[in-house]
Amino acid sequence: MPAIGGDEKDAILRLQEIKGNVLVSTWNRVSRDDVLHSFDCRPDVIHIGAPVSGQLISSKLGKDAAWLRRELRNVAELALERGYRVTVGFEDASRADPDFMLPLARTLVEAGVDRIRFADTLGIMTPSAVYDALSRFDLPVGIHAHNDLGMAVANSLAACQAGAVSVDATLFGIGERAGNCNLRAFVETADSAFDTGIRAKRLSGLEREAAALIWKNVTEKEKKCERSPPS
Amino acid sequence: MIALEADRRAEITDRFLSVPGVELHPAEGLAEIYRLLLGVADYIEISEAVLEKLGGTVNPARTLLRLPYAEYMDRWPGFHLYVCPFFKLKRYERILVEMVFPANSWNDVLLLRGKGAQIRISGMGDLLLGDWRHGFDILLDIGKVELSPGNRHGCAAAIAFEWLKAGGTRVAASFLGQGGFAPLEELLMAIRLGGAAVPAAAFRCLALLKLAYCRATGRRIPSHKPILGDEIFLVESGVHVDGIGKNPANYEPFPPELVGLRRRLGVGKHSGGRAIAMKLEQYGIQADSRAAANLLASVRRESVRLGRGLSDAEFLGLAKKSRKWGWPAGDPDC
Repeated sequence: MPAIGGDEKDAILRLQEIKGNVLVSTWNRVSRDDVLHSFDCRPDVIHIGAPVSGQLISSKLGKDAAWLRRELRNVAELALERGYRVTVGFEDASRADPDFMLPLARTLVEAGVDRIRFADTLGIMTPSAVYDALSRFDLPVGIHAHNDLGMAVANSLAACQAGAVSVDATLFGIGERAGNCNLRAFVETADSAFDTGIRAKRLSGLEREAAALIWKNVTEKEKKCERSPPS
Repeated sequence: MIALEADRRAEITDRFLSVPGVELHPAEGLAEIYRLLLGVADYIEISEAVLEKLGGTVNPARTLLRLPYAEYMDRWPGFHLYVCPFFKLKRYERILVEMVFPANSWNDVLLLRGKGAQIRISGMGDLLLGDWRHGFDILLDIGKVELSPGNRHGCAAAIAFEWLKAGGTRVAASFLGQGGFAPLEELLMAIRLGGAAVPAAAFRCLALLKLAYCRATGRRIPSHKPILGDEIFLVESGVHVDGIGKNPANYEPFPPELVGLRRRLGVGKHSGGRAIAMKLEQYGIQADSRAAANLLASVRRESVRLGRGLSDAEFLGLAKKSRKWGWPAGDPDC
């Protein structure tokens, strides 16, 4: 999130130096300023996160659907004109009106946006609902699942069955509230049905290294109850 | 029993108290867990060893007794059902035969057809990887099957919920997913968010169960465990804090009070101006916009240095230090 400024921008620039084959994507609100901050970091992808449910548009942004349609298009075009690869995240898509969301997705993709990311921001969906919702998009769409019902992995699998082109996952499933789709859990599960292109065995080594960094200031006792599923 | 539709009710069994090893915990703890489970699930499955510890407090009409051999059922008459493996069965009345997939096969299921036994299908954790709708159709064809999905692939709660949605009525889960099954609390919340009326009392029992579980076993529940983790309503990222501040329904799938939790505001690297303002308000501290902006900068710096979010004490420490930038004389403690 380059808009945070300072350290964040330095960190992103440093990521660019060491990234190898990985693409670096920056997160932006529906705001010209945010995207201008992103330009400073020269990312591979500029991602714009746009709330699309009536609830969030009115209660969080204090705007209306027409404003979002116009502004989102403007902000996306700002990045597209500079030659960036742009993706748009539909925040709270699970509560959004498909009749608003689908035409909006179409205009964005026609304008040159790479793909739409369907976010179940509150983690309230189940596999059949995800499958049905994503099947209605006849354009490149990805899934961003939350684990509030413990179904982030299952929902991501259902999204793949519906033809999703990307899956958001995080190390240890770290994310707001009950977290997001756990990267290792997803890869290990999806491996037998899909070619994820990720070697599942290497992930445990990655987790070991990452845990040492993430929880460097956490005591052993706290670490034990962090993120590990009860068995 | 939860009404899924006007004419279809879900029968939920909890199998936590039949997981091998639970009988080692103190009897009082097990009795409390059993009593609370009655407030959540329709039937409680227990093992013989747990039954011996619970003694007379068991309500046989709502209890399933798990037995290694069906013949043992004569020792313990009066239970709702007896859960037995598919092994040397000579009688089938009041018996719920557990087929564990993939150890058992469809052949075993076919052998049991028409014998009068009830069937539980256990395992099948990889169901969602294939054509699961077709899989459910096959299960529905068998008759009144109870499904107890295994959680090996982390999909058990999802399978259990989809099973009920696809037309199944009987499902077995386990509190916290203990034993490797669908977590009861996740299944229940999914049913509630799916639109069926799950009484709030069931969730109160779940919150109390969490405490009873921790007391009885001496273990802690992971802080971000779905539904019951202590920190699932801790918000830190600026975007979410901003939304929660305007209306909690913006970012909360269900009200924290439902499961005995409270909303908490964390501050750290991803905080924005709104989080600082809300946190200051929480402690009744007055600050002008310049002081708040300075405080935000130092909160972010400190959080980056520590590599984590800040505790309330650490936040107050920074707030105190920031006085030199000119706090108006508000709270004497700061």
